[in-house]
Amino acid sequence: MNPKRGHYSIAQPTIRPLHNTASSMESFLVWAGKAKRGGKDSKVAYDFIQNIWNIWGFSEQTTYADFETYWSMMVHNSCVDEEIPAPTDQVFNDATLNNLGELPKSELTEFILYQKAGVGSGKHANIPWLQELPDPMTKLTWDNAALISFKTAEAKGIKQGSMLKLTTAAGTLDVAAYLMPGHADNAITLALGYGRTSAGHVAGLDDDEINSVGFDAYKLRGSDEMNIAAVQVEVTSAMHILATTQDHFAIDAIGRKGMEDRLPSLVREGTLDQYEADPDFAKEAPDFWDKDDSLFIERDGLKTPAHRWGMAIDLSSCTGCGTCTIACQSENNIPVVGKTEVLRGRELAWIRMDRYFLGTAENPTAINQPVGCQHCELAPCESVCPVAATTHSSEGLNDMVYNRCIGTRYCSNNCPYKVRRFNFFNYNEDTELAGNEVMKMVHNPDVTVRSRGVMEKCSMCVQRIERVRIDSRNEDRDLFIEDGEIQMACEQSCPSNAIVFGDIEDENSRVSKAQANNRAYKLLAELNNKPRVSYLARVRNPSPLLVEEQSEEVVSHG
Amino acid sequence: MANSASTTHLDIFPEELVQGTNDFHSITETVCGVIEAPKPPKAWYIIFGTALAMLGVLGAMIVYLVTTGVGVWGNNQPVAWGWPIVNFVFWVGIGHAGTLISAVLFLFRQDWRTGINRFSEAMTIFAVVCAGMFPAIHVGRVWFIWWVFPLPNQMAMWPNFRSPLLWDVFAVSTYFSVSLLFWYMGLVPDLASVRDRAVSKTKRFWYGLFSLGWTGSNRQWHRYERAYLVLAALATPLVLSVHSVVSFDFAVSQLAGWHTTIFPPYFVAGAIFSGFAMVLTLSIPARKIFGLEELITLRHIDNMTKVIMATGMMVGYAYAMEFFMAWYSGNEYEGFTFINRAFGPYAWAYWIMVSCNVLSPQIFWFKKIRRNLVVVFIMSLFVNVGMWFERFVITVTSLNRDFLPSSWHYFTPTWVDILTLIGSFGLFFTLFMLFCRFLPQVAISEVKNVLPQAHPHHDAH
Repeated sequence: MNPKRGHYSIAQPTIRPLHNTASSMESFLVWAGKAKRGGKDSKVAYDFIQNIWNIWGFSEQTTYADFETYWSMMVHNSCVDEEIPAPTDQVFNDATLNNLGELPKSELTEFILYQKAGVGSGKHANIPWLQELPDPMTKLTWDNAALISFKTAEAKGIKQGSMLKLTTAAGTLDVAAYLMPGHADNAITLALGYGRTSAGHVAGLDDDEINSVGFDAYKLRGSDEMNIAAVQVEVTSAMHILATTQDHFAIDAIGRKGMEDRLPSLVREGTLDQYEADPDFAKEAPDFWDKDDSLFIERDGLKTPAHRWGMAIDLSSCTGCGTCTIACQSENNIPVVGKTEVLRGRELAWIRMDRYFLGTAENPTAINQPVGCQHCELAPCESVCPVAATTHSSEGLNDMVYNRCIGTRYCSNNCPYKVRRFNFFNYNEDTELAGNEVMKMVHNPDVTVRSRGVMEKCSMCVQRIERVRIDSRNEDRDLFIEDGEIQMACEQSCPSNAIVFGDIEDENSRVSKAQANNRAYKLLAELNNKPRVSYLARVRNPSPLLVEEQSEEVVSHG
Repeated sequence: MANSASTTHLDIFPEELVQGTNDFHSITETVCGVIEAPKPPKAWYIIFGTALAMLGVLGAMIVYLVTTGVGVWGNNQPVAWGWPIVNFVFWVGIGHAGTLISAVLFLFRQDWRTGINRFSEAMTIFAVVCAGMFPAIHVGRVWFIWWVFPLPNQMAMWPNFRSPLLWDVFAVSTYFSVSLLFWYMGLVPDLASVRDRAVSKTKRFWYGLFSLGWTGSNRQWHRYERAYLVLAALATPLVLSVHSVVSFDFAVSQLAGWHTTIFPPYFVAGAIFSGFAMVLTLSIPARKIFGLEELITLRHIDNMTKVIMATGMMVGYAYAMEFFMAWYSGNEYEGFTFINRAFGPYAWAYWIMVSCNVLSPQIFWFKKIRRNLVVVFIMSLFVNVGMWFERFVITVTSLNRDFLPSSWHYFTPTWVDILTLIGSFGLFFTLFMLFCRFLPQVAISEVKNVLPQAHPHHDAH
């Protein structure tokens, strides 16, 4: 294999053959007439690869004298370097920019194709996790839609979900409209990769009469206008239901105002100038709850645990991509629920990416914030459960005991962050059926598969904590789990390292330092739940030109 | 003492509690006649048949729910409690008037209670049966509902005594057992009358079994009266406690719109309000169908409408106070919840509630209207509807827009929600129709007590 230019590596098995199966390599060899079936514990593929490396790899080097040593080195290092030719200089030819044509003018609408973060060009369309991953901006699941500005929509009489008939030089397509704040006027943006007819049982398969998900933008894409084209829009009276995990921008005035009033304290933000002038700007809220004036003996006073787990999320780093959601879903066996259940508001994400728009529909500021269980010290969910199914661990985790849960859902009502998720149906039915032995293996064996009727939520990857604890005990050092040794799935996958997990008892840990940062604040701290998760306020450094433009617009709106 | 009693019983009460030319015997005849008639009136068959069909729907809905999951309802995130809890609070509220009428009014020597107390106690029992059903079926894993009781178990685990839901379990089950006991005890002398008059062997056996060997001796009457008084005293605090505890489910939580100290008295007032409305809804047709107009008189109805008007105004005061406190607290979430309630996406539900509960009972200021049975009946339905919506407004509008705007989600019920509510009325009316047919609807011995003949000493001296 040649995973990267200049590197060669060995194809190594990731898993033993499941049940009575053979590896694909063995099958190809057998079909090509190069080998015979090896049966159980077959070495056909192994022998073949070893032979190849003997012929091509071993013979072309001089470091190792015998093949056995060479082979051991290769398996151990799994990779061998080769001389890489120096790259040639690339020159940007700006003369070609002159060849660009004029952009389509007002009577014709500009049409732009793009790829969504989840399914991309469509090759990931049959992965249900990615279909249900809310788009970072639209929060749309299980669909693509023609994004259009509020102004253009109003001019053309388009409502959220109106079906549009789009015509380009390449073809026509009926597609649902989505009113997108901040979108350019007289333009339509549509994601590729949807409307597939032979993708599989998730995204659509005509042969098995499985309806396709979304609208096939490729029908509007001609070979001479690959990504931008002129489009004609015809508004029809038909409507399409779009499943979003959050309200879109256009809600009633009262809701809009309530949202705008509270957002500055929920998602704290400032500009660099503001931060330099007052580094404590995020701490402006009253801090009476910090005082140790509780009427009760607090839990932490009763026991001195070896560790106190906590988390910090730096909003300055967070880009709102939603990778944490998917990482968590895969780590914690979280089922997808499908479009109709998303419409009912029953998606099961343990960590979700909240997205808000502040300002006008023409030029809004988008704000995002990942929210999972805050693991409150004084958790409101714990006191209201009649059967004590959610309790506090000595290390400060808010544990969920699935076996004890009877599903009153009171904990969810009393959670101000609404991070608790309920199994309204048996979402794991398929894996319980006989004959689905292989399907069961998609689950993480360290995490319980939840049954119908129980509540679930972020466990701070307790299985990962326990895994490291077991290892450290075996090494007689269980009080000295190093900072960073335990990684949450969300933390591990975050491309911008916005999430930090660790021991807040250890003042040198990354999380302790992050929580001591002057940008740190707790979400809804005034409720005195004492969350274990801190957010670090976002500091923006906008270009002065953009700020000017924005303030001008506000004036023109005033 | 000659003629010193110039103000007689009749002067204080302008109207007789028992109308017509009734004596001891005719009252027994009227009440027992309903049970002894070979066939009940046609209307009974129609209502009972309809109720039974609705009960069948309820059964089907429960089977569907238990086999499929709570997702068959409209509940979602953030509205984790939807119609089932609304229905629960609604039925518990209705179950309030019974104990109030039988216990509190008894202690306050309100003689007019005698005509309607049996009726409303039965209503209480059946309403609490309907109410108790909802929390039981609304949990995710119905088969483990017994975990809420402090029973010895292999996990060696107590339920969580800090949870208001657990207080609910105790409050509602206590209320149910005391109400049942109170109702049954009051029934014993009347059951004995039915037993003594029964002609068939089966009837003699069953009424005999449940009348516990009552002979009507002086000693028995003496102990009966004592026990009745003691039970009334025991039941009185329950009138206040049960709905207060139900209100704790909301008040103890953190949610804006629930987290309010006004809830206990406000819930109790609302419960009495809805309970009396339901007594009217039931008694106005029943007195006609079973010919009890002389025992459940216009004066009873007049009194009940006055109670409705008074409690309706208390409820209205509570609505206003909630708004005032939301503003006065200065809490941004609290303030938003109430503005959102009255003018947000659920404004329609809020204004149905206000017009049914606060505005409509105001017409009872007029005596003519208080005695117009058609108007009173329609008004009682309005109050029932309004009180259902009150619980809907409290439960759903607070949850659907809580702290973090990202969680906001509109709640829509499903057909299963609707049919389950209808089905619960089926359960209620089935039980009530069986009661009307097989048990004395009016407390015979107590009504006899308020006859002028029962107080011969007044003019005899």
